[in-house]
Amino acid sequence: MLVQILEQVINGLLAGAYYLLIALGLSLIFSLGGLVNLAHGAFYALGAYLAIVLAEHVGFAGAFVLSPLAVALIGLLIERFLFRRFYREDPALGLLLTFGLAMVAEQSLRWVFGAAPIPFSIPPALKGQILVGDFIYSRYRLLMLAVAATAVAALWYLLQRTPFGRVVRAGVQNPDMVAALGISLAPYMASIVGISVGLAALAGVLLAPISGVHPAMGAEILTASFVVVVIGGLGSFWGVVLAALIVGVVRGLTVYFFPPAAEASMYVLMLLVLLFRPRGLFGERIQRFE
Amino acid sequence: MDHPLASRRRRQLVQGAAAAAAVGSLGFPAIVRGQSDAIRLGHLTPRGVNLAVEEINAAGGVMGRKIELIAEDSVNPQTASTKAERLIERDKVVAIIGEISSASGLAIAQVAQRNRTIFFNTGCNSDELRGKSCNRFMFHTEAANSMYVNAEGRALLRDGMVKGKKWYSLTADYAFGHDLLRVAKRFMQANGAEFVADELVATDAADFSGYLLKIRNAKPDLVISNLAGTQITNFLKQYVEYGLKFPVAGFAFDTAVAWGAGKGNVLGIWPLVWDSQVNTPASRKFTEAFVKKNGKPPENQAWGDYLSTKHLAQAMNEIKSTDSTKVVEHLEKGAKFDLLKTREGYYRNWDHQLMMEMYTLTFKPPEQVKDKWDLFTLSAPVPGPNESLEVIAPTREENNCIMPA
Amino acid sequence: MIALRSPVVLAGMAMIVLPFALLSGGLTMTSATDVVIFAIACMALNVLVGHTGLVSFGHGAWFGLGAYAAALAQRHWFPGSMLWPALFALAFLAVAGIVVGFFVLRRRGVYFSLLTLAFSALTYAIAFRWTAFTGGENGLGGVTRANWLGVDLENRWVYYTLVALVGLAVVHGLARFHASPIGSVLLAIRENEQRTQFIGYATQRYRLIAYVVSATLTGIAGVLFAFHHRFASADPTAVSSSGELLAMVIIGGMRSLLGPALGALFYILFREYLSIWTPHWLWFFGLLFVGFIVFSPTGLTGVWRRLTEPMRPKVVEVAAMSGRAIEQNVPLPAFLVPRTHSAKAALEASGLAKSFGGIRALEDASVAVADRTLHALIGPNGAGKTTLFNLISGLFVPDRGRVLLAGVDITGRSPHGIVAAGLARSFQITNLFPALSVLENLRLAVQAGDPFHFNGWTRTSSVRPVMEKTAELIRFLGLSGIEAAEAGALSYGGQRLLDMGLALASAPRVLLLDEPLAGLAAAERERVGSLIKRIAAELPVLLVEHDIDRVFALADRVTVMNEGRVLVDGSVGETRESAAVREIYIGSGTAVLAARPRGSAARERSPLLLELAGVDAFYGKSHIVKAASLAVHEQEIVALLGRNGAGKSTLLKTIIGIVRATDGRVALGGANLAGCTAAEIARRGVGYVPQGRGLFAGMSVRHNLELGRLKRREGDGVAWSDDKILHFFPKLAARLDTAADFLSGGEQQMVAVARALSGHVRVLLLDEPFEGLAPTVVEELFETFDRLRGEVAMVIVEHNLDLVLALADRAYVLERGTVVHQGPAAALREDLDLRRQVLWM
Repeated sequence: MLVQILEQVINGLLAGAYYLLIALGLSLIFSLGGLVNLAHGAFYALGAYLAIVLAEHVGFAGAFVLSPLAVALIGLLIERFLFRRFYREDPALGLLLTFGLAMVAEQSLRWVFGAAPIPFSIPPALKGQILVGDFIYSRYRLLMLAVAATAVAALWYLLQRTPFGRVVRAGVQNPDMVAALGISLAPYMASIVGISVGLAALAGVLLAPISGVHPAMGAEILTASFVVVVIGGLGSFWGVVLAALIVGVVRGLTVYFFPPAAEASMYVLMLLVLLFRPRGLFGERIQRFE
Repeated sequence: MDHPLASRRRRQLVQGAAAAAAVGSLGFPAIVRGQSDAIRLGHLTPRGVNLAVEEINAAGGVMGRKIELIAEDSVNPQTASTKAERLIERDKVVAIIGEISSASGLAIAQVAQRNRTIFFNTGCNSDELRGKSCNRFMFHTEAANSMYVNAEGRALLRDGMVKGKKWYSLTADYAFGHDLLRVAKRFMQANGAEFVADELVATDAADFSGYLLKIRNAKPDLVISNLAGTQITNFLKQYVEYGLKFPVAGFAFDTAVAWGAGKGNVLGIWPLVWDSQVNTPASRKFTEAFVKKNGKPPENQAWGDYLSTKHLAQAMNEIKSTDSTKVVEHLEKGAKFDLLKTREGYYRNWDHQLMMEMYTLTFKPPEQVKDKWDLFTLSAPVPGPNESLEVIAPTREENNCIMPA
Repeated sequence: MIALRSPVVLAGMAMIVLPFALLSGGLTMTSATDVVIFAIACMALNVLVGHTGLVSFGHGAWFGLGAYAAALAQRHWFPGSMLWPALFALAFLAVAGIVVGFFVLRRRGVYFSLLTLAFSALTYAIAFRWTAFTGGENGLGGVTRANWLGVDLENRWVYYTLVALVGLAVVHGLARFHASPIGSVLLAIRENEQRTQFIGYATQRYRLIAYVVSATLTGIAGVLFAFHHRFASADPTAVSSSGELLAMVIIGGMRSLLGPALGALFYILFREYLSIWTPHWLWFFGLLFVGFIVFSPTGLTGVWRRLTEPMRPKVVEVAAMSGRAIEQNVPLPAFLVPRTHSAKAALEASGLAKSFGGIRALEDASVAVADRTLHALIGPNGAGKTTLFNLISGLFVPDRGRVLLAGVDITGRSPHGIVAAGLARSFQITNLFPALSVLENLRLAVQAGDPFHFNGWTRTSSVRPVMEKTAELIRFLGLSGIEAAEAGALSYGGQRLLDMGLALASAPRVLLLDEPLAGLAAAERERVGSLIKRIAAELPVLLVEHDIDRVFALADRVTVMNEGRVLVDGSVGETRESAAVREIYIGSGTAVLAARPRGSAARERSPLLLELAGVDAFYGKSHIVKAASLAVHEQEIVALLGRNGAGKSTLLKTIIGIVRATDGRVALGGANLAGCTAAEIARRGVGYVPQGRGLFAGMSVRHNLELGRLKRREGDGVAWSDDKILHFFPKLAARLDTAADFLSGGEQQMVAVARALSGHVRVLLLDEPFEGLAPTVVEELFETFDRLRGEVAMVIVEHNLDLVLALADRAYVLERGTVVHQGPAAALREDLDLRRQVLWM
């Protein structure tokens, strides 16, 4: 039994990593722009749908590259014409705006592709399982994990080790001072939105072969990712990473011990965290969101 | 946290599929649409163009009058109720057909009962709707959960997957799944299988890896799915991904689920109420017309809408009246109808369930698949040619219905 | 005409027309009833969203819970009855509202929204999955309507009438609620929760009331809904329904009582008609919703108002102070005069200390205020005066020390508890309810002390004692004639006066006034000074004031603070004679640094570099900089002097573009900077070192410097290389890879200056560069600035006059945002009388 619990814990850690790509983007947009992006899941769904459309012409590998880029481009447009107006507004307005955008995006997918799921498979080369001792792992998922980990590492490098990232981090702390040093934050903000939604789309491409591709898929993943962000603390990189892993493990353990509560477990976790650590595990106090 | 727009249920399989429903007959409020002498039918939550109306009108209509279909999305139970009332009161429809969500079905049924107007349920499976919540004006073209379970059960019995076998079951944790599980348990106990595990899965679960690990460790003889809608798609894709080899069977299925998973991602034995592979002249004709119109074969939901419209028109033609009470009486007398299947069927008088043949399906090996619609082969009809159609339906003891006055 | 505009009459007429309009439009009574039910829910939700400023994303849960409570109660306990299930639901909702409210109201802002969203999701998950209890997806059917005294509620018209009557009652109730004392406090919370506490309200309690009222009424709509459709289901509890309710409120307009009802009507019509035509009606709805958020967050009522704006007669409220009718020598209103007097100290603070993140704001401060005394608290910037106020009034809890009010220990009490105990304060930075009128502002504060303040039904304006007291107070303050003006529209001076009025209005036993005279015109300052004197004749006043002459003229006793401690405590005479006071205040004029004469790099005819002419700037609604003009020549050092709040920092921010000039001209090297963003201005050669340094925490010195030159590599000013930086600040060499927040204050200041100079700079703006630094560091920086002379022009804001005047070539003195003196720095440096004259006012 202990072995099986261990298996669930490891699986939970892996599963938690899948939320990361989306949760990190959510967190970035929030901390830099003050927008709680309820439409983030829509970009994930868009990534999955685009991947399916593109894969017919350029194959999985091509879709894997092109779909996130295309979605990032859409993200840039939305940033330019919608998000930008709301960075300095009451955050509640941003919440409502993105709620509406999510509605439009999901309905658009429904309109174009229909409500029923559309098929997509793991490329044959990536199929199969790997046995480690008595534990079984899906080859595709391990690859997916590697891609996710690489993306997260790249993002971390970008934010922590490059001038670009330093401008962004400085902008989170004190946008006025950044401006007073001659740096206009607008292109940085646009890039961050582009990168964030691109990552969400990447997650969509990666998950499309192993889960149903349907219009509500964005809503499905968003809620879980959102929980991860809130638990980790809005704006905290490592908080989000840690929270994703914790959520994965807690969910895995609940699947083992009390499956009906498996999905509810993360919400209970979130409520507890919010009640006792209102800004999440590592969240910073950001006055305008209080 | 449920996202604003998430609705992870069977309903999500169909919502909005009616993109360009029959222009012209698609509704305007009564005031806008000039009065005509057409017979109006309300269609809530349609799943595509209803071919039946065109065929009926082409064949001279009902008692010489045209049929006019007012198709709308029912949105949610409350709106379904509002719309049903509007269709009956303002648009004077003679009947309402459609629906897939049990809650909306119940809401419409209540309105239909109060207004003494017929409602054909073409998509809700729950036994409760036929039992505790039954009413005189509601008829069920869609099969009840019991019928799915019994049809599937017979296939499992035939394959020796029941007696003394260990089942591992996953059930969608909401009314539909609960009802299905109840019926499945009854079957299992009666036939000597046992559950090694019987787990409820939240409707918002998209990742099944944790469950798959548990299944792998439990080493069951059979994995049973009482899941619903896109959950089945997710489950099948991931089951294949993890390469588990235990046989899979399910007690509820929609063709759209298989199409959504796609070639190579599907396995197991599943029950089905109808498929375009059923080889009868009427079935072929319907399929051809449907493909011509939509570019894809009809699935089980479209069949239900088509069929109930036909049945209604046939009944009204037979009794030369559009009066709902008379139609109810006629149907209760056991009028026979073509079902695009080998045997004719009838609506059972005490619970208004359509008595009919069911099928089970198994998936073709990927190399035999011709196109994305051609994924499985259909069994012979259940029950067999010499049996009563009622043997797979719930008995009065199992699901009693007392029609309110 | 007035009656016609009352919401109840409007709503009543609308509800009479509604069914006929919908029926003739092809819809049914069911839709009409739905409209009224959703209207009730939306108006209820708006109690929180529009009136209290709390955006609940979870009210669908209350709607659904109401429906369930009624349906379950009827099924299990009261078959056939409607009244009892409804009453049960009411009780259940109220209790549940208190419990849930207690938890979700722990947070504010976005976090509140997120918590309510989670609440809704949780409710949905339970309702949807607990099939045995709630019917789950199938819902709970079989709800029946009753037959009351022979009236059959199954009849649609009868039921519509019932719902409409409930709707009317809700409109009436809400109209009264919003006009009642509790309602007015909710508005106050929306406008300024902190100040609401400081005029004596336990805001948490009021927020809870708002939440419970809102939740219960939304639930009542749910009850009606269950009886209407004869069943309850999980759908309304979903987040999507909560979002739809919010959408209705927003689309209708959250700034009016009936706006949300309009939104409900709009939503249902939109849904009914559009879903007839297309199954994609949600797509259109989403688009429309986004449109409203982007283009008209005030909703349909806002659109209507804008459309009819030109047609309506303009009501211009006189907001100018000149619109007032001032009476001379109005005595202090009777209700403000304490009934008893005591010989003991009215207020006694002893040994108070407070640190903020390692910075000691207050080291050890004690002050005792005797009854009927005007006690002044003076001292330079950063002395800790305002911190002392904040500790006494309960804004912060002191680290050490205690506060006695008439002998009672009030240390650590909540702000409203302290007001209740008899101590009220005003604020240095104006802290009002900007969208409320002068009358409403003051009435709120008066009403807090009235036994009737906890009333949700009676119109505040009909409570005679409160209205009379408010009127007396307005007369006393000299605000008659502008009662109806919006507080936010008042001039700065008017706002200062109102701020003092708010503190006075709660009839305190001890009054704390933080710079009440700042920003007032000379004559007005005279008048308000005498007002304060009259107040102090009856109750003790502790006054922070920079206008030292006036302090000496008015005060009975003076406490002088410096660097977080009390320096002198004594009579006016003693203080005036104290050498220590003179030194900290105007400097000795003989400081060592200042002793050495400094050369000037600015030649007589240096070209003009930076020019401000008639510049106006606002901070929020406050007009901070007024017609300020200033010139800086190449290589010149300009000192910008003036009291706290004179607008010095804002003027620097206006130059760099963080605050936008609304009027006037700012030009650098002849090129107009109008319309340039801060980043563009910085790239053109303006360097800025803000007060508090503005370093980026968590980033090394090297990276802070890197950001400084990232986008300012080109230009024709000074740009320091790393070598040059280390040459000027050798200490930083060992610190290059240390995080900026781990540096000492002096090192931080060096980094901030170096960062500003690391890109191209033609003029450097320094805001309080010596603040909070040890003397040796001050000297080092001073020498650095001196050596910078000739490389770059500088504008320095600094309260240490000796230092800054020693550096500067010329000086400007700012008063209330306007330049009141300019001239060579040397004159002010050497002539202490002149210095006194222009800086002490």
